[in-house]
Amino acid sequence: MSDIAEGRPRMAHWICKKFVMAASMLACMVSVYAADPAGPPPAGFPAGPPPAGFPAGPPPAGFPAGFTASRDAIPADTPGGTSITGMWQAMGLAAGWEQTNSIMKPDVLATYEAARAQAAVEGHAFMTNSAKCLPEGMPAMIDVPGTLEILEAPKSKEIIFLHTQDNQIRPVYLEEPHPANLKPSYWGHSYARWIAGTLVIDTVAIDDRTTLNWFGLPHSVALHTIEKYRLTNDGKTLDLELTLEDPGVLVAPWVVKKRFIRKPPHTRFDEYVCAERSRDAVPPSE
Amino acid sequence: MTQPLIRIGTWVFACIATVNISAPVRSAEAAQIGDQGLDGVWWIISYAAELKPIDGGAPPLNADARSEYQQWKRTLQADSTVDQVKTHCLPQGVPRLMGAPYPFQIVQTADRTTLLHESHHVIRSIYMDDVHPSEGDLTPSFMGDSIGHWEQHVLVIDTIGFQLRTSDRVGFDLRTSLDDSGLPHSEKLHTIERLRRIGDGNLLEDLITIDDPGVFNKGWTVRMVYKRQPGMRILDYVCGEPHRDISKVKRIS
Repeated sequence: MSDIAEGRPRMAHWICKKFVMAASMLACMVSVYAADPAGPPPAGFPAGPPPAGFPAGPPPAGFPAGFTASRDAIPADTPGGTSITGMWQAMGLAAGWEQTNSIMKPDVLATYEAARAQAAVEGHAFMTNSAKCLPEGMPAMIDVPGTLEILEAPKSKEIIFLHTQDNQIRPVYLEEPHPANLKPSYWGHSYARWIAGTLVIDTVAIDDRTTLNWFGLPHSVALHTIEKYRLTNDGKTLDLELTLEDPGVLVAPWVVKKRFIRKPPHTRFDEYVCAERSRDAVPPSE
Repeated sequence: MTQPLIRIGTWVFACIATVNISAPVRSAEAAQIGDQGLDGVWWIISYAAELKPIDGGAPPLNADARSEYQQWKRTLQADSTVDQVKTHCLPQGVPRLMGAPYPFQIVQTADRTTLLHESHHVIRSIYMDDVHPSEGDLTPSFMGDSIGHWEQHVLVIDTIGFQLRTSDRVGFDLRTSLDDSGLPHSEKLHTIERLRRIGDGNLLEDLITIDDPGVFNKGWTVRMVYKRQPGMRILDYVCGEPHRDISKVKRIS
């Protein structure tokens, strides 16, 4: 048998396994979130309403079962801090980042929904970048409910965002406005400034092979994102407000919010190997 | 008025530093003393598919491992198998990753030293002044678990917990190895790296001691040297897409 003839069924087998992996990851995350006790905040933590913009109540339509848009229960042993450097656990998906949305242009949404429907007819999941073991890239990487590490590197005047999902390395530059003639890339070009305690990151030149969110909504190369990160709860949490502007697919700017919880120092950055783990997710045939 | 004070301060600091030269120094201080720490982008000077011990000769493989290695090399050369770590851009492990012909960036922060490798976009975290998880809590991984501490100006990195793969669960050949030629290792692999700036500070040396009683008759050491790359940035590295031109890295056969 030639290598090519052998390669095709292997590839189909492999892709199939990636979906099993994605489903098991989702089931695992759902169980983790579902196990989290609702109820009053832990002792020593101020009670009260969530910060402005963090909707209470049920998650918006389109969120996978088990996820909530906003959760205010921060574990009692969460360390605080004054620096954004550290490991951060995303609290579910971003609030206000539904699968479908009236901010999307109707024709773009129709094409997207048709592609999802077609995938369902063909009996497989909708192929997002992570299902193909490609980087999520900007801005969908922000939507992934995983772990984020932030490294402030003052010597090279940059802040580096590391995402465990596919080991993505995204530098943002503190003293470098967008150069002209940028070539689009998965992470785009990010210019960051500190404005009154808020880290504001402006990103352009994002390759249109990436998607707007975890659900795979498309964007155009005209996409422009503005992230505003701010430490809250004495540095125990990091709040993000993300604005998406894209005249190619959106009729108005789309604003979503997300919260991250600080993890203790020395928390391990888990090794994530897409091609490998997808195969491991499938038990050996009996 | 400020100027003389700064001079006196510097002098006092220099004296203290000299007096304490043999005392153990804490991570944050060590990073500041003498050199400028290890932050920056570094690129290996020469690339070799086969690792060679620093004191000459061949790696001290035991008899079983030697025959396994020769067999693997033969199948690779005959194209009857593929090196999946390379074709699927899997994390190469230590020392293989440290010998990769692509640059990497070092970022030092409070509790860790992070190596951002362009090659296979591997993120390698070294937890400073920490201990390894206990055996039950240690999940074997391609890159293992790395802890670090400073001995004067030398960053010492201790790594255990490497997973050994000789095939994957669905029967593909997947072999983790110590270099690009397929030099084998076992689950007992333990590496100790001594990373320091040398020369005028523009070179970085990594002396990697490989201790693996499952494969080698004794411990042995390889040396890798990287050059500082001011202004260079780590690029996107997406498996299956074009990468940086590495033709300038000298190849040693």
